[in-house]
Amino acid sequence: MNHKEQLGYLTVACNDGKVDYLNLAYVQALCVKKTQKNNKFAVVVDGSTKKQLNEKHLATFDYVIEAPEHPYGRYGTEAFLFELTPFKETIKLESDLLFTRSIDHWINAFRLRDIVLSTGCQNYTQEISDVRAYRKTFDDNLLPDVYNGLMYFRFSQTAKNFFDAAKSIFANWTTVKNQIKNCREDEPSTDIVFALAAQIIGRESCTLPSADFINFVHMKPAINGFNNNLHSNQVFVTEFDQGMIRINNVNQYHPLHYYDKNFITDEMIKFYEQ
Amino acid sequence: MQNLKKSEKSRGILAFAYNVETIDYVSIAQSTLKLASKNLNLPYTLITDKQFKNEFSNSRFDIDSGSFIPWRNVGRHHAYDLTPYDETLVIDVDYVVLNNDLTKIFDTEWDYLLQRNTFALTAEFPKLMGETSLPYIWATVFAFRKTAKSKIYFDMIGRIQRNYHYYRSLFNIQERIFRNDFAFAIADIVLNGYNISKCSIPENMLTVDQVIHSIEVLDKNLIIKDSSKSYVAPRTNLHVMSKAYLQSDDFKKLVDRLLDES
Repeated sequence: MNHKEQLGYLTVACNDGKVDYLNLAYVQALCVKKTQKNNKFAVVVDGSTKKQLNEKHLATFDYVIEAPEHPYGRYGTEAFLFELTPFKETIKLESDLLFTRSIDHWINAFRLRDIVLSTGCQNYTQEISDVRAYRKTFDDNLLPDVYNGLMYFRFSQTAKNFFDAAKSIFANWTTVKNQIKNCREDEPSTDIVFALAAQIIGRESCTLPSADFINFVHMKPAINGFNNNLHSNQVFVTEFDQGMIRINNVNQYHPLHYYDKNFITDEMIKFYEQ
Repeated sequence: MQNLKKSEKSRGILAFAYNVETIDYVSIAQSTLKLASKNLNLPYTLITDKQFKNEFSNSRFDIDSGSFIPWRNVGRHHAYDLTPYDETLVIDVDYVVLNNDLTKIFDTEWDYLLQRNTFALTAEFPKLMGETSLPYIWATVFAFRKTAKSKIYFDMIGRIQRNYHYYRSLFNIQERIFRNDFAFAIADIVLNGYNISKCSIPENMLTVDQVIHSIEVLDKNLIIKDSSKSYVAPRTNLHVMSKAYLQSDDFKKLVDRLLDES
């Protein structure tokens, strides 16, 4: 373990030919710099994505970390973050998530646990969603309703146990998936793996039920009441107003997991780059 | 926000009534305003026009005739300028005040206060202005004080009314007709910094959404009868959609009886 900073943000960006995750991570890093006081930013990339780093990226990311080769599938890199992070305390984000205001004050709540997974999610009207369309496996197996889109962990035995459990689940997915009731995933998603890991180490040690604000707005269709075949920008007017993101005339004060990978506009990048 | 302790404010009820060919809103208003005035112990003012104008400015579905009829519902935002009161309760003429609950809202601080929730006897109203839109409010009853924020609010409603097609498109509103409910909701969202406020007139409004034969008002209960059923409800204010009933002799007799009650 070679920690270089006390606290910072970390995301994984492994381009897959369809989505430029590196660009999403770049915009996220700019956004974190613009909105957060604690704004050190590290990105974990695979070998091929590393070759796509340009000067702008390198000037913005505080740390670029190459992920190790592993046989755990597309999302398996997430299980190695405990070893890869340059921070003693890490706020791990999915790369398609933006902030419109500071969450520095959340850190006080994060520090109540060694690891905190965001629980539940909100819709664009900033209300806790009760839609379970994407959470059937979780409900069928009584798993905690956690999301890996935003989580906190610090260098601790609990976090190590959590990520070790995640690694084990990724490594043994063929066996694990047959033990899960109504498992719908041939390839494990990070959400389901982290939910299982949370269940193994004890959800009480990695969630904060009383801090119901530790979550984000999730722009998946059913959560926001529109057809699954559509993207939010086909349904809602989205405005970007000096760092504030307004969806269907509602300001997004909570972290926004925009989900649609074409959400980022040149106007946004220009604003964040200022 | 106004300082309520500064001085005694004038307070009253305001209603708009513009007749159309088939409905004498002024006559309905005379009954419902008298009743509201008695139950709330407040003076009232009716805003109408001198001559019946046969303009077709809007239309609504009329449950009594089962067809669309002309509807002159525009101009509600003028309430701010037209009211003679510092604190105004605005009610639709089809809003029947049967208790004094609304007097209590003036004990709290707000610039304007809207009715956000309603329930109906037979139908479930949609909660959003369109399938992918935002919640609307019920402009059937609302209150405002003469403050800078209220002025901006009503000016905003006027702007929405004048540019309704733009706002309809922006807010994914399904209905083509202009509704005050939508304009009030949009202005409220914009004025609250593009947020959905939950601040509301506390009591959920009971809407009588079907053609009715009678309303019987008891000490603590109401009995509302339509062609097939009787509904018993607590003695609450009613939003009566059947204008035929509100123009009937039965309703006038009911109002007269309630006015005579001590």
